[in-house]
Amino acid sequence: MAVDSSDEHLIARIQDGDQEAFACLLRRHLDSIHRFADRTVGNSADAEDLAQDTFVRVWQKAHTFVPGKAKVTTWIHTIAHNLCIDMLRKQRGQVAIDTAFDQGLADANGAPDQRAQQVQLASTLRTAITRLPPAQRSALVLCLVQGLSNKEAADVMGVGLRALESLLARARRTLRTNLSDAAMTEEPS
Amino acid sequence: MNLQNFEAGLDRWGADLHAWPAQDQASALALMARSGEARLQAERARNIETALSESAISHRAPGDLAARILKDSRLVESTGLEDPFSGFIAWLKAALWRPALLAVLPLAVGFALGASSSVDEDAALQNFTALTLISAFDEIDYEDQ
Repeated sequence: MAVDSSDEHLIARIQDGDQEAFACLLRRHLDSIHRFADRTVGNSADAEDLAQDTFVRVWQKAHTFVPGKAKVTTWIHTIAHNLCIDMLRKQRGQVAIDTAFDQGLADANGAPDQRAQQVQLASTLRTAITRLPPAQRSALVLCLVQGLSNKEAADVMGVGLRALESLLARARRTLRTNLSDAAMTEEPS
Repeated sequence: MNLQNFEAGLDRWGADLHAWPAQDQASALALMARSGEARLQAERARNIETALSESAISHRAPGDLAARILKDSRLVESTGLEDPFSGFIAWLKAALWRPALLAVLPLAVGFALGASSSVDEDAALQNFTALTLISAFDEIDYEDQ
């Protein structure tokens, strides 16, 4: 399977039962989907289960993908988002938080003292994100972590563009309030 | 644009002013040029966004997760094509059938009307035949009565 095959081409092959195409799509999107689940539910153990369930559904539901209606990335995020929301509803008020988010920043480039500062900031940020209502959290993670456009995030969440922007605005406002005493909100030097 | 509107714009569209609606960009840039507080707000918003996006850069799924997914029994048991009903539903949802349905609709209506009228004719013919027979029997003189 050519590495440069487009996602749409891979989905077409998967619709024909091509497991090699599925493996290629999996390798291409697994890190991103695991990250999305991790940031949304707040712990990596659940994120692994969610990523696994997401790709099983990609395989099982590949025939429902309609080319041209949505990008493959958006479609996969939609599946993952729905699974995350289901899990958050079941675990209402019991979100476990682990250190994966901190680790993501600790591994980033930068001087040791800068990384330590980033980890501290990330810890505060992670706590603030997990305190957001699920819809605001999803909107924030889809746009600011996953890099989806507002329109794509709205499609993933099944809401209109203005509703998505309202969710983002409320999420940013809440974050800003919660981070008011963190270093990132200090006067820039 | 005042500081309050600017902060609301940062919340709604983010720290990248290029992502703002065109009509708000110029006034936001003008406010930033003359207001240190606006620049500070934009800097704070940018710091939060940078922290979020940088946390994503180095994220990797666990090394064995892909292998575990590929060995998932739900993948082995299914072929991705095993649900013809779902496939049919997906096909129905696709856009192609709609013009076809529109073209066939008058034909279907014609068939329906034709079928219903022929049934009525048959029923009328049967009624007519029965009435004619009854009338014929009524006109017979039964000698032994």
